[in-house]
Parts: sequence; structure tokens; C-alpha cells
Amino acid sequence: MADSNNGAIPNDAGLLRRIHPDLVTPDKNLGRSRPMTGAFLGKDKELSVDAEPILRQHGLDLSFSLRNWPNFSLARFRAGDARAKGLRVVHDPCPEEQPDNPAHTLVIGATRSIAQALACACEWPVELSGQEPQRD
Amino acid sequence: MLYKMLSAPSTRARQVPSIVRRRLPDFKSPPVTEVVLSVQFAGLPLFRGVHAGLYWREIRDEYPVVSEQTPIPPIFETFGATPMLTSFQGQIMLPPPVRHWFETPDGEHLVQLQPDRILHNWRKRSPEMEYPRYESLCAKFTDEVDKLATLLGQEGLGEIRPNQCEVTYINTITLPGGENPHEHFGRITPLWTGDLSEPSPGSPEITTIQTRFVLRKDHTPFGRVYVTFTPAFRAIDHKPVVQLEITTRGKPEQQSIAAAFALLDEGRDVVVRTFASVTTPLMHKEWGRTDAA
Amino acid sequence: MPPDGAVQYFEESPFPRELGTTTTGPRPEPARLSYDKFWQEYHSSVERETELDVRRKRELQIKLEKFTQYPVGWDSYGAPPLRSDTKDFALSVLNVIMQPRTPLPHVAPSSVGGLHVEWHERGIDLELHIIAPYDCDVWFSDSRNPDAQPVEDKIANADFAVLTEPIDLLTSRAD
Repeated sequence: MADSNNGAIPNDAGLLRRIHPDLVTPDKNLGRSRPMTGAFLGKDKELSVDAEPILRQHGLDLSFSLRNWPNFSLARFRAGDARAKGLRVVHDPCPEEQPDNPAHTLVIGATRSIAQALACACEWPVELSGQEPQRD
Repeated sequence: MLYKMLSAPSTRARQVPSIVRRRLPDFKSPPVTEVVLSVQFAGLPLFRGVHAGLYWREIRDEYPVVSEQTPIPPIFETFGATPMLTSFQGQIMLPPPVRHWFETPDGEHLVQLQPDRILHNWRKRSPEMEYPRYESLCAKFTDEVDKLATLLGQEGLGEIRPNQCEVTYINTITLPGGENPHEHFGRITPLWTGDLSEPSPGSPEITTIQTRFVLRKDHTPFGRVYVTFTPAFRAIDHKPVVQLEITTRGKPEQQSIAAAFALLDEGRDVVVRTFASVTTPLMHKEWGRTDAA
Repeated sequence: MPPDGAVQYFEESPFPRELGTTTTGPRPEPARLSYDKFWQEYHSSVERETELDVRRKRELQIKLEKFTQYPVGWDSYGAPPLRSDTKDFALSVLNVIMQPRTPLPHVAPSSVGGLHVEWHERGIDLELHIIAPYDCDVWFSDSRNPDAQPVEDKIANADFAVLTEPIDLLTSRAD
């Protein structure tokens, strides 16, 4: 696996996480539904995501991330935000579980607190038809 | 801890251990009619009926009688605030696992097996049967759990990781002299004084008592003791009796067979001490108490 | 002495003899005293549960059972289904921490075969990850209490008393 701090996945790259319908919680404190903390807690603190720039490099759009999971939604957070929390963002193309996915990326080191912050701050649900929003 | 282990526990069920314990209440003729030792463990998702058959092959010489029952749902002792009035209870969806019974020809001993629990029951099936004492039952149960652990390893089904252990003693109590125990509960247990504060329309016809206590280690709760007195009639002669059931249930210190048996030993001690404390000296004399009070 | 029915009980209910660990016939469930219904009817201080509450609780139990039937990879990232013993343990935890008027939590299976139990209302964020029996992570914060710091804890035994205060707040606080 190549650690992408050499620029392969820039800080403003969107990272896409699939969200199962069960993992959406009604947050009455925020006044909206959002992904649960558990949606950002992976096994052994490794979170699988798809890196948007690499999807585009391969001529793929956001629907590719939902290709086998029609009832799921997508959440997006920035690579830079993850790194700012001390997480590693590592490009891991075509792993054994997803041999057809060149954009597969691992976000490593998320604790419960960090996962909770990501769950509240992520963009969700991501519109499949829209382009990746530009950061100011 | 009530006692120390003098020999180090093995990773599997241990041999009959050498232990030091405070002197337990002891009775020559305790009224015990059933004893149950139970180890509940993390469910084995690959365990099937055929594996129960393989297990039976190891014990069938002694337990040739086989039957099937509905499974016992898992139960965990947990502690917090006031419990809800309506409990959440697990439901079993199809297809449910099966609880297998393996009995001796005379029905005195029973091994129960399901994918998340193994039990050994001793039952007094005739007046001639004598209570074989805990150490003897524990040795049998140790061997039965060992055989299960060996089978699981051979078949690649996982390992036994105990999460609850339970000891139950059931006693069938009659009064000396043949008086109706339902009308003289206070002679059986100090939990009932029968001293009503206002004149009542006679003696109580029947009385049922339930109580429970919390077991703690270093101030942390880990289990409970349940005590139930229930009036009943003996089937063969309709003689009134009182059934006293004492159950201890708790979480072992570790998810190992050795820790499970350590907790069973401790649970049995608690049962015996509780039995002595919730029954009267009158009944202790009837049952031939031998230790100093 | 006949092998079954050695004693007969008053008002014997039609339990199958094989229910429970013992073979002496029906006995009271140790987890619940038999006078629950009695006190519920006659004790004015005991809060009755509405039919709606009972139905919603049944829905929660059914949902948990459904999670145990999920296939491996249900979350698209290889997660196993909720373990059956963890489901039953979670129900016993809910039994000891929830009060009659506590709102029902949102529940979902976790990536390691456990269960997420969450409340996000009334200024309270309370998250419980029941990883396995007697292995739970807790996270709690109260946005209406400016002095309170978020609490993160591990419960590795049977004692859930640490949840008493958050549940009290959740239950008693107005929307």
C-alpha cells in the first residue's frame, strides 16, 4: 500500500463511505438524520473508502461506489480533515475484497471520538448526479 | 474470594482441585431432590444436530436415553438502575436450535446440550437414591465439559467461552410430625414470621416467598442468588410439601472453562450457606446438621 | 416416585415440563418477580406502560432478531451479523438501564458482530457499542450542560450503573 502523502490523494480529495440504511440515525439534537458513529468505525481501526479523484482518473463516477449496493447512500469527508485528526489516508487499489476498485483507499486510526466527529461533520447524503463541490 | 485454589487451574476443565474453604454447613440428610450445574457460553454458530450426535457417541454408554427439547434462551445477570416493568426478551426465529437430553436409564443423571450451553442435572428419582454430593457431580460435569471441548476442537467448531455459570439446588421440604407445611411456613424459614399486626381471619392457606441477593467481588456486582419457596403437593400421596429452590448465577472472571468451574464451586458454596440461612434451626436438626452453627 | 411431576403446584400453568434448566416442572422466572402485574395494578406510584410503548418495544426486539440473520458483508465492508449471544446480552442491558418513559434508542449492528445503541435527543448524545457480552464502549455528552465534558468509558463487567445518570437525564428532561 502506498501512503498517499506524496500527493496521490490530496487533502481536498473527497473520500466516499457507503452507508447502510440501518446505520442512519435520527439526530433530534441536530434536527436531521445523519450516519451513525458506527458507520465510521471499521474493524481494527481501518476504514474503507473510495477516493473521488481516482474514480475520475479512471472515468468512473460516484455511482460506481454504489454499484452493488442499490439501497445504500454515500457520505463524503475530506482527506485533509482526516489527516488533521491524525489519521493516515492510504491508497489501496483493487484489494482482494474489491478487485475491480482502483479508487479503494484506507483511512487508518479512527477512534470512537474521531468516528463520531466524522459522522456529524460529513456531507450526507451525497448526490450522485452532482460534481464534487469545490472548496473555497 | 471464599477460598484459594492450591493447584493452578489447567486451561481446560481441571482435575478434582485441592481447595481450601471455610467450613460449609453440612447436613446428613439434606432434603435436596435436584441439582443443576450449568455453563452458558458464546454460541457456536457451526454446531448442528450431527455434532450433538458425535458428542452422544462419547457418553452413550452411560447416557443411552435421548430426547429433544426446546432450547433455553440465554440469560445474563446485569446491574444498573430500576428494571423496566415490561422486559425485553429475545425471540427465536426459525429454525430454532435444539436442546438435546441424554439420560441414564434410571433417569438419575441428565446431560443437556445446546449450541450455547451445557448442563448436568441430578434428580432424586426414587426414595432410595441418595444425594451424591457436589464433588461427585462436579467431577462428572468436568468430564462431560472436557469431552465437549475435545469434540469442538476436533471438528473445528470453535471453543467453549463461558459467559454465565449457574448452580441450582431444589429441596422438597416436609415438616417433622407430618403437619401441613403450608400452614406453618415460619417453622421452615425465618423469612416468614407469620406475625400479623392485626387479627386475621385464620392462618394463611398458602405462602410463596421470592427473594434475591446480589453477589459482589471488590464491591463490583457479578451475579445473583435467587431464593424461592413454593407450596406444592407430592404427586404420589398428595402430601403437602414446600419446594425451596436456590439458584446462583453469575459471570466468570474469565471466559475459560477453569474460571467457569471456579465460579460453579463458589456458587455451590453460596447455595449451601444461603440454604442454611433461609431455613430454621428446627429444620436443620431434622436434616441432621453436623457442623457447628 | 414417578419420573415427572414429582410435585404438583398450586394453579399450575400449562408449561411444557421441559422449559428451563430443571426438570421439576414450572417455576417462576428468576429474572422477574411474579408480583409484577399485581403491583402494576394497585400501586399508584408505578407508571403504567401504554400499549404504544409495548408495541414499540416488541418492534425493537424483532429488529434485533433480524440483525442476527444478516449475511456476512451486510454493510458492504465484510461485517458479520449481530451475534446471537450479544443480542440477548443487549436485551438484558436494556432491561436494567431503561426506565418506563425512556425513549427507545436507535439500534444497528456493528462492523464486528456487535450492536450500536444510540440516543440523540433532548441535548443528550448517548452511544453504547455492545461489542460482545460484558464488553461495551460508552460515549456520553450533554450539550445543555456547558460545564460537562464528554464521557468515554469501557464497561467490561456486569455493572451498568455508569449509565444511570445519562438515562435519568434522557428520561426526565423535556424536549
